Amino acid sequence: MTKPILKADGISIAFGGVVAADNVSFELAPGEIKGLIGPNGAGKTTLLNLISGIYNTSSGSIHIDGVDVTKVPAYKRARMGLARTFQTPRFLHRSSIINNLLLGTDLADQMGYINSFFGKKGSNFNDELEELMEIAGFTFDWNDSISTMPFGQQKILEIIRAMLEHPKIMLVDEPAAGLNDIELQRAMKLMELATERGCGIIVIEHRMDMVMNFCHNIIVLNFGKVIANGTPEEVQCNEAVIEAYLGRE
Amino acid sequence: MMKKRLSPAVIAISGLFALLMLGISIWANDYLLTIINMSLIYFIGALGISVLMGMTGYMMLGSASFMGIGGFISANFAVKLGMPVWLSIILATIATGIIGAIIGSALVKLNGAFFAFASLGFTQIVSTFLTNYVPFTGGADGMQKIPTLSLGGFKVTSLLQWFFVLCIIAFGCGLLVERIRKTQLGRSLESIRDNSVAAETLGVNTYLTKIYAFTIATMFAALSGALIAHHNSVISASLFSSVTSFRWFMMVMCGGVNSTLGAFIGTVVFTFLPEVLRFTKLFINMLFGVAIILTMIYMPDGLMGVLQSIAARIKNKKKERKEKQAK
Repeated sequence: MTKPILKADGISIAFGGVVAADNVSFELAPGEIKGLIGPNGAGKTTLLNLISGIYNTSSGSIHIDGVDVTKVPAYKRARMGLARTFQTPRFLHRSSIINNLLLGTDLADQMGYINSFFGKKGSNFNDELEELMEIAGFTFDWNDSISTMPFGQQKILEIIRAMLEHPKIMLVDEPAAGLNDIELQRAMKLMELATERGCGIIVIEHRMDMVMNFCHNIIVLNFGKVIANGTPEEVQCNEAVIEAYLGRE
Repeated sequence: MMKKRLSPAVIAISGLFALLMLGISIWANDYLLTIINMSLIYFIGALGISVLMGMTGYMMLGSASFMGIGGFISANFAVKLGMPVWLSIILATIATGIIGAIIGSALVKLNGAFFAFASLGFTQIVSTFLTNYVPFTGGADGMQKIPTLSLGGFKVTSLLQWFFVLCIIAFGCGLLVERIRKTQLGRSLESIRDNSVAAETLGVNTYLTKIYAFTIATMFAALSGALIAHHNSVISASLFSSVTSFRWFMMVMCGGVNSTLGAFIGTVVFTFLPEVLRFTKLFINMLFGVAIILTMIYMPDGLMGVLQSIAARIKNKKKERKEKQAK
C-alpha cells in the first residue's frame, strides 16, 4: 500500500461530558475515497472539524503527508493541501460566484496579498474552471450573485471550489443532501476526477446506495467510537453496524 | 471574461466627475471650496472605514483618534523639525500605521459589539491625551501656523489648488481600495466577514488579515488627519473626539458600507447637509438621528445599495427584452 496522505492516530475530543470522538484512528491513501457513516450525533462532522483544525484534539495525533499537524492551526493545514466543504455551503453570500471560486484559487496559488495586489498571474483559473463547470453541467453567468443559486448547486459549487484549491485531501460533508439524482451523479464525477489526480477523499453521507457503490472503504462511527472499518461488503455484514443502525432485537 | 473593458457606467461617472471638477474650478467660492475640500479629506478616511467595516465586518468607532494622531504627528514633524510637508504627511501615515498595527493586534481579537466599544474606548483615551498633553498638541489651544503642502518648489496655497491636490490623492486612494477589493486581500477580508471558520479552512490567516485591515483603516484616517492639519494650517484636539468618529461612521453607513463610491456619496452628503441645514440649528443632530434610523430600516446597504438595485433592475429588464427579441 502507498504511503498514507492522512493519518489519524487515537484522536479524541469531549464537549463537557459528551465524548464526540473517542480514540479514532484511520489512514487515508492518495486516490482513496473513504466513506464516513454513522447514526445522527455519532461525531462525523466533529471528526472532520478535528482533521481540518477547527477543533483541537485533546489527545492523539494527526499527520498530513507524514507531517505532524496536531498543533497546526486550520489555515496552515489548508495551505498544506487540506480542503473541505460544509453541510450547509459557506460562501461569501453577498459576492459573485467568480469571487467565491477565486478564494479557492488563491489558496492553490499562495502568492500572498502583495503579489496579488500588484497583479501577479496565478494558475490558469479560467481553463480549469471551465473543465469543472462542464462536468458539473453549470451554464450560469459567473458574475451573478451567489445568492441566486439554488442550494443543491451551491453544494456542488463548494466541491468545485475545493478542487480549485488543488488539494491532497478533500473532506466532503454530506454532498448528497439536497441534491437530485442527476446532480448527485455530477458531484460524484467531480470527486472521482479529484481522486484521479491523487487526492484522497473523506466523505460523510447518509445515502447508503451512494456510499456502498462509491466508496472504497468505509468507517462507521457511533458515539464517537469507530465500530467498523473496512470495505463496503465487510461493513454491511458487520454485527455492530447492523445493531447501531437497526437497534438490538 | 477577464477582458478589461470600461463599462458605460464607469465612463459616465468619470465624465460627470470631470464636468463637476471643471464647474467647481470656475464657479466655486472659498466657502464652497472649504466644504468640498473637507468632504474630500473625510472621504479618504472613510475609505479606511469602508475596508474595515464594509469588507471585514468590524464596526469601527475609533477612526477619529487615529486621524488625530496622524494629524498631530505630521504637524509636529513639519513645525518643530522643519520637515518638508509631503514627507511629514507620509511619515505620519506610516507612524500611525505602526501604532494602529499594535493597537489592532489587541482589538481584532474582539468580535462584533465588543470591538466597536473597545475602539470607542480607545477614541476617548486618545482624545483626552491629545487635549491635555501640551508639548505634543498644544493642549486646548491646539497648534497654529502649520505650513502648507509644497511639492518641488510648487506651493499649494489657495483652496482651489488644494482642491486639485486632494482630488488626486482621493482618487489614488480610491483606486487603491478598489484594487484591494478585487485581489486576494479583499476576498480574504470578505471571507472573514461572511464566515470566519470557512475562511480558516480556505487558508486565510484570519488574525493577521484582520490586523492588516485595521492597519489600513488607521493609515487612511491618519492621512486624512495630516491633510486636515496642513489644509487648515491649524489643528486642535477637540476635532478628534468620538463625535467625529460617529459622524464618519454615519457617512459610511448611509453612503453604502461596502462600496468606494458609496463612501464618497456618504461623505459628500454628510459634509454638505450640515451647511444646507444650518437654519435648523440644534435640531440638526436630531435630523441626523432620524436619517440614520430610516436608512438602516429601508436601505441597509446605504444610498449606494439603492443605486445598485436600480442598476440591477435596468440590467434585468434589458436581458428580458433581449430574450423576447430572440424568441
